[in-house]
Amino acid sequence: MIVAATVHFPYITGWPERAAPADAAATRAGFERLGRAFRDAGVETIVAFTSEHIVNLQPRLAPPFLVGTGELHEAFPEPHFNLAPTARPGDPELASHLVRALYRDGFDVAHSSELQLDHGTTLPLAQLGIEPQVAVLPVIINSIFPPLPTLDRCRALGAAVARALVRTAPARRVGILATGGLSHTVGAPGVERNDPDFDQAFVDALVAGDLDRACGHGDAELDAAGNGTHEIRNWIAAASASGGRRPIEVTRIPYAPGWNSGVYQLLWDAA
Amino acid sequence: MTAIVLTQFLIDVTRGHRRQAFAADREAVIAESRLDEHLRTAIRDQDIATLWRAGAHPMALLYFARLSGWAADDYYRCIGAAST
Repeated sequence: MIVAATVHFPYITGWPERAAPADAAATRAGFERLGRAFRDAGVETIVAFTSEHIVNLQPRLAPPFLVGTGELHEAFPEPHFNLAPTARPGDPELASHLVRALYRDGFDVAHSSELQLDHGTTLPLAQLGIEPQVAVLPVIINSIFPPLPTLDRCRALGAAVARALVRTAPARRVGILATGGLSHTVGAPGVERNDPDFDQAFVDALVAGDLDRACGHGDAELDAAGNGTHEIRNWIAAASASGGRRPIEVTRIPYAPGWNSGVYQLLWDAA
Repeated sequence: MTAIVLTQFLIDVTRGHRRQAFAADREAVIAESRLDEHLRTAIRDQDIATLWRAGAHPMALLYFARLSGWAADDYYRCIGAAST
């Protein structure tokens, strides 16, 4: 099963000109490579471990894991990021099977038939060039409203999702996409910088297949690296779903000036 | 608890079920809220610094500032100053 992980920060589409041309070109090339890998694998459904930015989750209701079971996932309008509000087809049958399988595996995930997808999901899908007929099965991991699920629990979720997909849909060509930033800050002081040391250590752990090390961060440490850093949960889930394979490092830009962020993309190929 | 109530209020009026009502009659929505008078005043005055110090979720506060016409640079300058 093909597995990939990528950043999704909206500078990529909203303000591409702010980045150095070489950084922008490397990012585009990274998306193209990942998109080509999904197309070559003939992926029919993308299970997206994703974050969102107060579109579905809020303090009133913030489950740790939320599976989208709808037939269609509308896009939350974000014209200021130059994102077309492209709705994506869901995969309700597979989603329903997945939820039931996760229940049997000890994960009482929430589910929703009316999720909206924001740039956390729509941006990478567009940049990857995912065709409109490819179904999307979102698995939103709460990374914004504490208490958040532990990194180890996200690791276990990724493995459980992979097991469930193999059992319930062996004939369906499913790919897994994690989308989320590494260290970054949104709405708080420090928005202009990331923590390159943290990012490189985290990615090094994933590249080495060392999920114990990747999960060895407490929430306070993640907060210190920036409030958006909690999105690494999605990367951990994807790495775990890969079954311990080592990924190809597609893009590594420790800090892209103008984008205030590092750019990382990983690919666990279908082999 | 106050910070959570404040955050939920900010979400409701920027991208939630009270958005249209807030646009139509800001005072009525404030009056129906669970916010104390201190925070009600801060909402009326679009006093981002006070809302920041009250513990509003950064993303929810950013959305409220955007709705209130704040430029991003001004918002970040304001909360930076409020944090020191």
